[in-house]
Amino acid sequence: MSTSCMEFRQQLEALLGGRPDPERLTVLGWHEHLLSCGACREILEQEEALELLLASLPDPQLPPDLSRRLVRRLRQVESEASDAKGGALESLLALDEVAIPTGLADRVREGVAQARLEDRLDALLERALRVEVPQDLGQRVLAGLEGERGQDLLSPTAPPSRARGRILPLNRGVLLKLAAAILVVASGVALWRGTLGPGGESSETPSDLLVQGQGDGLPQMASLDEEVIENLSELLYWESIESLGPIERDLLSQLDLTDEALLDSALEAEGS
Amino acid sequence: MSKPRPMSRLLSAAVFASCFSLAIAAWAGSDQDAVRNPDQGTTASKADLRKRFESLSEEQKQALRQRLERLKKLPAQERQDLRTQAGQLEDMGRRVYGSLADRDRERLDGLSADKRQDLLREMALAEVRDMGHRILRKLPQEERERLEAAEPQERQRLLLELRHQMDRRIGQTIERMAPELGFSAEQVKNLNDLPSNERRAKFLHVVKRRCTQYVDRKGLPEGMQAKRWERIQQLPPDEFYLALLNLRREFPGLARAMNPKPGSDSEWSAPRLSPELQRVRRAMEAHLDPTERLELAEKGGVERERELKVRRRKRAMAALHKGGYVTGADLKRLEILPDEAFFALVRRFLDSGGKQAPIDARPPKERTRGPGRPGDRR
Repeated sequence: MSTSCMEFRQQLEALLGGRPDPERLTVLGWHEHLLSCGACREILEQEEALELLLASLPDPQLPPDLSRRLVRRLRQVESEASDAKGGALESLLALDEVAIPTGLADRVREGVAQARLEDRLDALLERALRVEVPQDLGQRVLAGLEGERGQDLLSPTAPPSRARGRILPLNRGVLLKLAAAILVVASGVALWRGTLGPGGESSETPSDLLVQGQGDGLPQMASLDEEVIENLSELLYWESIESLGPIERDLLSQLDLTDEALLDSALEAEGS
Repeated sequence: MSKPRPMSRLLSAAVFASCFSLAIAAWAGSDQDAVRNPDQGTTASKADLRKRFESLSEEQKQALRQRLERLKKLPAQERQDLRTQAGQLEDMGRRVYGSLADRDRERLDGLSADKRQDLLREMALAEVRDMGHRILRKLPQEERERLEAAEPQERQRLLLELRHQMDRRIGQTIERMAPELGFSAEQVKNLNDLPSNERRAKFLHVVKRRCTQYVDRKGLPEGMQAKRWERIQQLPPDEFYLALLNLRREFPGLARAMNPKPGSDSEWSAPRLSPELQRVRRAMEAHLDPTERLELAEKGGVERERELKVRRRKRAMAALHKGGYVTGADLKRLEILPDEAFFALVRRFLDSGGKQAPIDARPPKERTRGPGRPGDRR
């Protein structure tokens, strides 16, 4: 194989790969080397035919309800795991022959629960406030509460904490009225922000949506649909954008009709 | 006196709160709809969007949910890029709507909201795609090849550099056009002192002014109604420019108004391409013709695209054959090519101004570097 064959084949190799694109290879169809090399012509011909064939194949499609089935299955597995975990941890620890400190399994479970709580608190804070939340805020809050609880337990004479202040000597009637008022206000707010008011179709812009943190639970279908409706125009535009090729997308981001008019003027100036 | 039971009081309060919420929600909702639907042609009301979503198949709804989820998970920079591109596409939709001929606009406005939005988006996409190809075609060959071969990051850098180059070129171009437009040195300086974005916008004003001056001097191209030109003149510069680009397909001589050469004022001079090549180009641009797309408004988007492609391909083959660029045997070879390969070949043929043989369907061993059709030059 000559050096020019190698060079040609390297160029061919560089153009292959990624999504099949027959157009890419048309450039090589005019390579000088092909005029004198039958073997390389044949290789190019075969590659072109293969690219054309590959390009004509439809994109693989996932079954439409796959994600729903997957989510259902994951939930099932999760609930089975939580049902079984009580005994599973002990039996797992029992497999090891090393002496195990008493209460280790309980401590591990507490640790896991604590870690989950911390994660959730951070995630909730991030979602609710949408302000800069320190990474470990949840952990620090829990540590603070833990300390406060310990202090209260150790020193009965210590001044009452804010947490203790919540337990007021209220009678059942007052508590019932308070609960009713909260329920009414909450239902009003929910109606307002939920399914009927402008909040029903969340007033967040797509950009707000895109910066919002992810909760730790799976999004509910209904609220997701509301988000989709709110952003339908943008989503459809995004769908269109996704149908553009990479160069077309970059050109769209960087250049516009002004550039075309300028290029026209430049060509005209060159012509004259 | 009987004491009201807590449960009934609770229910009354809940009903009152619900009614209050409903009333406020209804008021706010209608108000927002009104605000967000200022232009029938280019924006959809919330009610339209909801109706649209509900009319979709479960499969389409699921695809949209997944797209939203995917977008939420994109890195910040990618999201920003996507938003910029969506904004550009939306802008193009506005320009397309503004530049439509009266009969096309009436037809579009008469469609249901979802069809109208779909068609407008398709038209914008076709325009954007074509604009990209046109811009690439107008770049020096070396620059174009560098862009096409570059890795994504490098390509973005090259395009940014190109944009800066263009910005710098605005000043020189305005200076060059100034005598023709009657701009004083001070006006030119004021224009050039503007920030980049404003200068870009002003440049399109300048282009519009030059085009209208040219038409004022020479009169309208044959077949164009004065009323139609009047309406086009009322458009903002970017919509005007797009309208003119599209009108060029109907009135090829208008290309001269966009790029008048000094001393070519005597008549609507012939455009650069031969009539045969122009026919091929017009056939290839069928998907950009709003009238053509609107004729297929009742079909679904995928079916419409397919039909437009079939028409475009048939016409391009006929134009190539009629122009003497291909033989009957070549046509048969062209027929078996997939659409994308076919259109790429014809585009390359057009880009070379007819210099490069249109058919690459022949096996490479048979290929030669012959011209497409003797006598065809730009």
